[in-house]
Amino acid sequence: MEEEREVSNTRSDGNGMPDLVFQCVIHYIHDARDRDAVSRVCRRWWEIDAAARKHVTIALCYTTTPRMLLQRFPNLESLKLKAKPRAAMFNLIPEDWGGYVTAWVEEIARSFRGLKALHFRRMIVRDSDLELLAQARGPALQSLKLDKCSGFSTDGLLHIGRSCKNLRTLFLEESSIGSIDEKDGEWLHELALNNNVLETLNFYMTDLVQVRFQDLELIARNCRSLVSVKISDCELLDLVGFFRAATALQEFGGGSVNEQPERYSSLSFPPKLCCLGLTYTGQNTRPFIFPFAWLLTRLDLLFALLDTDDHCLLIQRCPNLEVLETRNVIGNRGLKVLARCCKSLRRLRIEPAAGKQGMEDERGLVSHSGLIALAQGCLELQYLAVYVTDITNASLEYFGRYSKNLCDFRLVLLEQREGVSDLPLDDGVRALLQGCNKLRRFALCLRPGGLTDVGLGYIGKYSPNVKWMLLGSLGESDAGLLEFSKGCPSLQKLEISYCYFSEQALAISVLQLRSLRYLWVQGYRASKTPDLLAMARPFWNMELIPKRQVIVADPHGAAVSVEDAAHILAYYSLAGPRTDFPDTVVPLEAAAFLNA
Amino acid sequence: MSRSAVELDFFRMEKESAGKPQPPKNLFDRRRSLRDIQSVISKMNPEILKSVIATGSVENGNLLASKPKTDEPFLSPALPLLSAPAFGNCVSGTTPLTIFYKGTISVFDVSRNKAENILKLAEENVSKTVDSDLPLTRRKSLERFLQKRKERLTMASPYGNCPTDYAFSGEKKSPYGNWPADYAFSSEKKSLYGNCPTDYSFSGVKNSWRH
Repeated sequence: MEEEREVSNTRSDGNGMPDLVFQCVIHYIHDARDRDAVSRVCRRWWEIDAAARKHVTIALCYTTTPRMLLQRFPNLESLKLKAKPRAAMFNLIPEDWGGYVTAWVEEIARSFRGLKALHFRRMIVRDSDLELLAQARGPALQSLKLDKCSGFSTDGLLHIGRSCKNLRTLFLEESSIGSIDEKDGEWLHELALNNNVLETLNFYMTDLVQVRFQDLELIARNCRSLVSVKISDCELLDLVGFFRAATALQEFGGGSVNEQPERYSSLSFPPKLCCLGLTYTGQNTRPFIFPFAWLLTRLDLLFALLDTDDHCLLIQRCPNLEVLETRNVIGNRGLKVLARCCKSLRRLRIEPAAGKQGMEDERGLVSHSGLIALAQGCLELQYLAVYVTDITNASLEYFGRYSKNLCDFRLVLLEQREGVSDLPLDDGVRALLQGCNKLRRFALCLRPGGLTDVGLGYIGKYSPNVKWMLLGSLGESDAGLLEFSKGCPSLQKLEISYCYFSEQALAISVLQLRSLRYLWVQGYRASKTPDLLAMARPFWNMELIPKRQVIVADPHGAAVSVEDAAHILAYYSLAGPRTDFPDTVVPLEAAAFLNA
Repeated sequence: MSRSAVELDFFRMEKESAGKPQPPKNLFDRRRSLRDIQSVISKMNPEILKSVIATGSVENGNLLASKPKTDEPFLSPALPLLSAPAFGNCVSGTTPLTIFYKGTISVFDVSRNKAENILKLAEENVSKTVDSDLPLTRRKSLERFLQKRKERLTMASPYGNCPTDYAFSGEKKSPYGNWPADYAFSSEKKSLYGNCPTDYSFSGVKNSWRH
């Protein structure tokens, strides 16, 4: 009857709210954690969220399968997948560790009809995967990011260049496309011919050097919305035409300055340029950077050739700076200039580099005096990653007191010849954690004596919201780890490097950390009995990369054989143990039997 | 003279300090744990330790440092003085191992064997830390950059077309040997995933790539 039909059309939950209302509302809920929470209210909301979910990030691809993803979120428009442990960025993970995109690309080609954006990070991508993707999703694809990936060549990119006419973003940053994988610059030429909507083009930190700057210029002319371009090494003088054509450009990175300064008088940057990262450039860039330095919001000096003085002179001209990345040659002096001049600073990253005498300014080292100035001067700071040569409890206390917006704090104490002023850092770490209550990510790498077991306990006790941690050379004994693991209620991902905890302590702490879903450990005290198996439980995958010899280049470029200590990797998975182990990786149970 | 001290005098500190009276700080720290000893040793300048242990000669039971081979730029007052009982003359039982470092005096009660081991340890530690710029532990992107920078410098034209940007603390741009020998890798061995060079007390893990 009519009445019944009406009731069934406006089906509602127990509160009387029709589905239609919630289906409209849910599109305004973007945060993944909110969506997760909302989907658990009732079955109906679960179904509505599942049908409406647009983006998913899978932090480790082995935690689920493409089919499970399809069943859960069939209408996905954007997917981000990650695989190799973060240690891969430090050359510590075997190249063939895993993280193949093939199964995912096949499912995407088959089923995910609405997919427009794809982001693979630290995964293995083959040319055949790119070909399949281009064939099946080419015209629909708007964003493709192959972020620190490997396994493909310019042949694969050629398919993308030819078929992805609607690509707004092509991001290849730091992907390993070795010299044998680069046939030519045809892929960029194809992209230039077929695409006029490109907004972001990034092949920064790749070895793609056969690209032609004429193609870059063509892209700039055709793509009126081009806002961000980061390229590999290329002489800036070749890009005069490109810069002239790219009138909407806001971000540029890469290139180098190899000629005499006078020759750059014809070079002018696009008017809206506010994010800059010049590589292999030094003082001679002053004439054409200084005039618009006041506009800069992002500055990448990681691969520039500036000394401490250059840093100071440049930074003091950048009052609007929000993001700075550089090496520790910035020095305490540079940090003080930053603190004085850059009140809008949100993100600061300071990497270590050659400190041997003569290479970079000896005074260009970062320590507590610079950090104290930074904490007091840059109150908007949200992200800080810094390598220091010296540190005090007081400087960490300053962060606790002033850096109320800090979400992400990473500190590494470099090995230096001279002693460190003020170890252990227990009190300073406690003060920082207590003061910075927005902290979500935390990394601390010191040395023996840097943090006692009590200090480790503080980290556990005072980090209620931290989801990711990296502990390096902290604590004194297993007692510290056990105390630590009584706390950290939100800790989902834990990385432990050279803390020398026993297998038994590691296993117990894993069972105690209630939110933990991912663990990576290197440099632990192996035992003869398989104590680690104490953390075995359903859905908990455990893998081991046994210690192995690796060939690396020593400081003089010679090939040497080095021992890389064993790694433990453990994670929750709904997909069961993986089936694509390379020789270098073994499931933990098997390893235990081998050693017995 | 059953216990003659073996003193390693770095850079003739005795001579220097003879002129100026320096009241030692009252930090008499009697410790026993091996970890404490290790942590003290780990703070010492490995270059100094190495050169002294390697070049020291024994005179009247005193091990005096000869002049170090290379010019050590870190001529700071933070020089350790290592004093151990002369190995030939020890009485059985524990004897004090005195370490003078940065104005602090640390005394460890150790047996003769332990003292020997400690000195050996310091040597090993030194050869590990001085030589092992563990390339494994640096971020890939940064390693790549440092390698490329080195290549660019060695490729620079010999006819003065050098890029004007290599102004490292006033160093000249010539490609003929004004460059420090191996600047591409730092003496810093730590990254977020650093191998700690001073981790000699635990089984199974050796970090030196020299093996």
